[in-house]
Amino acid sequence: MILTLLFFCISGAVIMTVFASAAGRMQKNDLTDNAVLCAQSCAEVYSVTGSVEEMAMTVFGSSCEKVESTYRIGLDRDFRPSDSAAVVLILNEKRSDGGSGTLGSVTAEFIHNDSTLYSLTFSAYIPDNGGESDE
Amino acid sequence: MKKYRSKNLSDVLGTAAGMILFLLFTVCMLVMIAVGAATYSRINDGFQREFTSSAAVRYLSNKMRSAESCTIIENGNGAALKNGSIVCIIYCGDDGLYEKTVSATAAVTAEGGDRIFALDRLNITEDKGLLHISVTVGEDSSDAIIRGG
Amino acid sequence: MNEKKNNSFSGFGVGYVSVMMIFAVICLTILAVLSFQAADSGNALTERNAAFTAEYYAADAKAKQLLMELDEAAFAGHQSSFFEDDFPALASGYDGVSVTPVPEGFRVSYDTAINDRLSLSSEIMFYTTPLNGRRYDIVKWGSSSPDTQDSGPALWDGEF
Repeated sequence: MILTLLFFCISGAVIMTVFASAAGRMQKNDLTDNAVLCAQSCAEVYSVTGSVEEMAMTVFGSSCEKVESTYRIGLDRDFRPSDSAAVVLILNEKRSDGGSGTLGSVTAEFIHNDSTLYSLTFSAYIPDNGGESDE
Repeated sequence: MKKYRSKNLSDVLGTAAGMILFLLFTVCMLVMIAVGAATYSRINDGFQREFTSSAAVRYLSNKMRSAESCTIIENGNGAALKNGSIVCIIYCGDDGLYEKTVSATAAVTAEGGDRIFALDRLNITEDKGLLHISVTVGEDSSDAIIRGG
Repeated sequence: MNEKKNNSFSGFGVGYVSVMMIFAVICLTILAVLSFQAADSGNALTERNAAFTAEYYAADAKAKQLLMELDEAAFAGHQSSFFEDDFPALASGYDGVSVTPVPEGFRVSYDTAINDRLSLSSEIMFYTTPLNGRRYDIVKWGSSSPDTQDSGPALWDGEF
C-alpha cells in the first residue's frame, strides 16, 4: 500500500511539473512573439528615420537612456515603457559614413530574466542632401 | 442478542464511514481532474487568442510589405494593396478578417471577401509615411508599424 | 469462523481506491501531455516567425548596403558631370544588378535572397539630374516569390 501511495505521489509530482512547464513555455512564447513584432516595428521605423531616438519615440512613445552607442529601454509584459521592467530592450548602433550618405546598423536585443528572448539586426540608409521616397 | 446487535451496528457504522471516505476521495479526484482540465483549457485558449492576433498582424504586415502601394479604406478598417494589375482588399468584417483579390480596374469595396482570421477589431492609420496596424482579438491586441507604400 | 468473518468483511477495500487513482492519473497525464503539446506547437510557430523576421531584415540590410554603394556611384557621377557614362558602367559591375536607361535617368533593379522561397526585390530610379535634390527614388522594395514575380494569380472573370 505504501508502494502504491508512493507511485501515485511521484506520478502526481511529474504531472504537476509538466503542467507548470507547459504554462511557463506558453508565457515565454507569448513574450518572444511580442518581442519579434516589436523588433519588426523598430526596424521599419528606423529604416525611415535613421535615428534610434526617433524610433524609440515613435514605437514606444518615450525616450531611452543612452550610454555611449548603446540605448536601453525597460518594457513591461505588454511591451510598453515601464520602470518595473519585465523585458529590457538594448539597442547597439553602428554608423558608417559614405561619401553620399550614412548607413546605420542597429542590433536590438530583448532580455528577460538575464537571458536573451530575441535579437534582430536591421539597418537604414540615409542619403546626404536628399532623400528616398516611394512612388 | 445484544452482542449481535452492537456488532451489527458497528459494522454498519464502519461501512458508512468507509463509504463517506470513498465518496470524499472520489470528489477529490474529480476536482483534481477538473482543475487539470481547466488548466489545459486556459493554456489552449490563451494560445489560440494570442497567436491569432499576432498572426493576423504578421499576415497583414507581410502582405503590405510585398505590395507596391497601400491605401487605407473604410476609415482604417481595411486596406487596398496594389500589385501590378491586381488589388488585394483586406478588411475587418463580421468578427473576422476578410480578403478578396480584384482587378485594379474594379471598384474597391469591403464586401464579398473570404474569411481568414477571427478577430474583433482592425485599425490601420498612417503617420509620416508609416502605417500603424492594430488588431484586437478578445482581450488581446497586437500592434505593428511598417513602412508605407 | 468469526475470524474468517472479520477478515473477509473489510468494507470498501484498497482495490477500488487504486482503480480510482489510476483513472485520475491517466486523465491528468493526458491533459498534461496535451498542454505541453500546445505549448510546444506555439514554440515552433514562434521560432519560425522569429527566424523569418531575422532572414528578411538580413536581406534588407544587404540590399541597403548595395543601395549605398549605388548611391555613392551616382553621387560620384553627378560630381564628375559624366553621370550617364559612369553610373551605368559602375552599377552593372555589381552581381545581379540590372540597369535600364529611361528618359529621366536609369532604373536599377536587383534581388536579394531572403530564403529558399522568397527574395527582396528592389527597384530604384536614379536621376540624371537630381529631382528636388533627390538623387534617387525607391520604386519598389518588397518581398516577392519567383512564381508570382512576373504575373500575379489567375483571376476569375465571372464566366464559367
